[in-house]
Amino acid sequence: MALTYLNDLKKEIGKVIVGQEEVIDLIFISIVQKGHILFESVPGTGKTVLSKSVSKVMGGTFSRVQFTPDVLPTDITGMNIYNPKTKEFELQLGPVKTNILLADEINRATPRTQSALLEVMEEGQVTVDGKTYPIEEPFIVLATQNPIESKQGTFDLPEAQMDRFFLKIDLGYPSFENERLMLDLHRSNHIQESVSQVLTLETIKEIQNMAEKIEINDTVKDYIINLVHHTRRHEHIELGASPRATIALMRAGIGTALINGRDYVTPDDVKYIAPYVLSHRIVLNIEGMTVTNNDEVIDSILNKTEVPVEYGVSRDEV
Amino acid sequence: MGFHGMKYRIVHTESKIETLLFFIIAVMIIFNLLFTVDLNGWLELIIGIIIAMTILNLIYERYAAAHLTVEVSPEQIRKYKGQDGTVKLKVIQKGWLPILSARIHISAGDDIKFHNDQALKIRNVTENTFLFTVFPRKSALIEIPFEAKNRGTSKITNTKINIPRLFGFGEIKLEQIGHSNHEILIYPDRYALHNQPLKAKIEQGLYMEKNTLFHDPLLSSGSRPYERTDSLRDVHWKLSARSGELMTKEYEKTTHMSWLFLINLRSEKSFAPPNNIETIFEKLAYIFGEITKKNIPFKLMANMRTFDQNHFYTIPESSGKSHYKTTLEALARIKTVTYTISFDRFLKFVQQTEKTPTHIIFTGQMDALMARELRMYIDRGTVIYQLNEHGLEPFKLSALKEAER
Repeated sequence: MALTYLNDLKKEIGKVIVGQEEVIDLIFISIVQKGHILFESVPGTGKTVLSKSVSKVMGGTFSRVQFTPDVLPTDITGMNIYNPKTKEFELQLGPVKTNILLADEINRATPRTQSALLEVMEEGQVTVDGKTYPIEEPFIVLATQNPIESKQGTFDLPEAQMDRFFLKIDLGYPSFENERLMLDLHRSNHIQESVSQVLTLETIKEIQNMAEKIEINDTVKDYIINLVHHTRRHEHIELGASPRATIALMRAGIGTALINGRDYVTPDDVKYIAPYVLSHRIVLNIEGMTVTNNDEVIDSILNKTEVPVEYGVSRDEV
Repeated sequence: MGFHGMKYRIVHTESKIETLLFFIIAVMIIFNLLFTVDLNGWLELIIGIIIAMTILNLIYERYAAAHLTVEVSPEQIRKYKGQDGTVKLKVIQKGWLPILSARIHISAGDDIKFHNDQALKIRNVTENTFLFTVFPRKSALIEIPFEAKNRGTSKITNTKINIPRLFGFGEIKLEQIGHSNHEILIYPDRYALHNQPLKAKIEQGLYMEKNTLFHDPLLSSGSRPYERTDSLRDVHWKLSARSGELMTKEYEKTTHMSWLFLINLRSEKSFAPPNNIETIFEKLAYIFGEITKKNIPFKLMANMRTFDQNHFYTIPESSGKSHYKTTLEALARIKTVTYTISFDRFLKFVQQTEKTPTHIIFTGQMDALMARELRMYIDRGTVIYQLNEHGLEPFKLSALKEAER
């Protein structure tokens, strides 16, 4: 059933974005595992269009915040506003009161405002004036940021914030053939309207229940922990992946098994998804920053960490 | 992100199979004539095999390399001098003919040195040869280990491929057209032991000097009685009303610092670069690393002419690890033998176009003309250091006067 929905998702999103089947797989994994996604790529690669399309196919409520340096934390979380009629303060929750929040150009807001999302992203609740309010599930943040403008009126996301993003997806440029297809698609001005809803909140919950039944054995769990531990003692890493990253890697591995139509997780699932889960969760040290980058470091860790294999009879006999 | 592709042309297709064919046929005919042995059946078979091989050979020669591409891995290769690295080449056979035991000969700039380098010392290249086999519709990855030998940039300048003929003798020889755009950047060695005193100097508080004339209006440190030269904007009106006399707010000096590094690529008596320029680069790389740790913004300029809007080689002011990387890359790219202008004229240009930094670190020797330009900065409150092969030396007015004399 999950694969049917995934194919429908690909079909619908494919109406506006070409050649991003792998990205749609990752988005589906994120939706299933209630994870937030950070889209990072250069301008004009379809980050916002993709995010809007995802929100459209998912159903539920949708809010969008265009982050700018003058957006305040209360613009995100909400505040108590005085009502002269009732002579009382009334709670006005901000755009976080939604199922899907599109945080566009998130790195344009100040770190103070970016941090307003920390609580709601992790705990699914928001605190206004000392009172905590739960946010309806599912709550997924789709954030976009442009890495090129990191020095022009933008603020790097704090590590704590990055850690809360389940996956970071780099859209990259389309291939020659896909860009030609894109030209054909975009002759119409109204392609966004052609995207229709595929999932409902109920179906998402059903798929999430299916994911919970997927088996993951101790060997694969050990492999996940080994990968994360390697990030904490790598020569080029200043800050390794957190225990939250360990959980995210396991959940992402389960999601990968789900989209591959299996009811158990293999080390290959973990290996495939690890760069998307870990690369934004590590901070390189000064030497690492000059000679390599996050993706290459994660690749080297994946290459060096022993992958568990199922040993045959001969091994048992030994 | 794809690999950087390289194009090839066939330069030599010498085949010895035709010669062999005629040789064997001639031997058969001679045997037939001399010994009158009935070899006609054998002769036909062998001639048939040879003709078949000739046809297959022609097909192989035409199509084996037609869909062969070699690409350099797009990974950024950045190494410090002395470190080891690996260049990755991907050989892709998009056609249907296998290539077995082919040789690829690679040449690159000599800022790097391939392990088991085959190049002659007099040639400014490094060379090595690797064997590879690639099956139809598959690819093979060749890893080329190297050592970062000198500061600079290296590219794969040339590759040659020799493909053995499957159905004949000899080889098909391919030569690269143009060169690869993939760069290997070698930073100066920042681990040189003689840099240690610099570290001590920076740790002792060199960077902490708050020499600015400006104060930070957001950091109030107290108040004092008003003095005649105080700005009215700084008067603490509330406190003045309470105490009955005018009081002035006091502020912390602004902590904003910017270091301007000025590199002299010309020795004082000739147009040639200074002899110790590589040591200077190493020390610069080290200082950049140390001040990046302190998050001090810095800018780099060299008296090397460029054709962009900056007129001189400039790395704009910034801070942080990515800026450090940019600056190291800039150091790697500097060619010391280039079009430079005299340092005093360069200093004049800097004075006219750049805002006054809190610190200036310049390299090279001092003369009277330069001293005159630097005096202007000292008058404005800038702290000046000279970087030479012994390390950082504070540049004082007394030394300046001596230079002027």
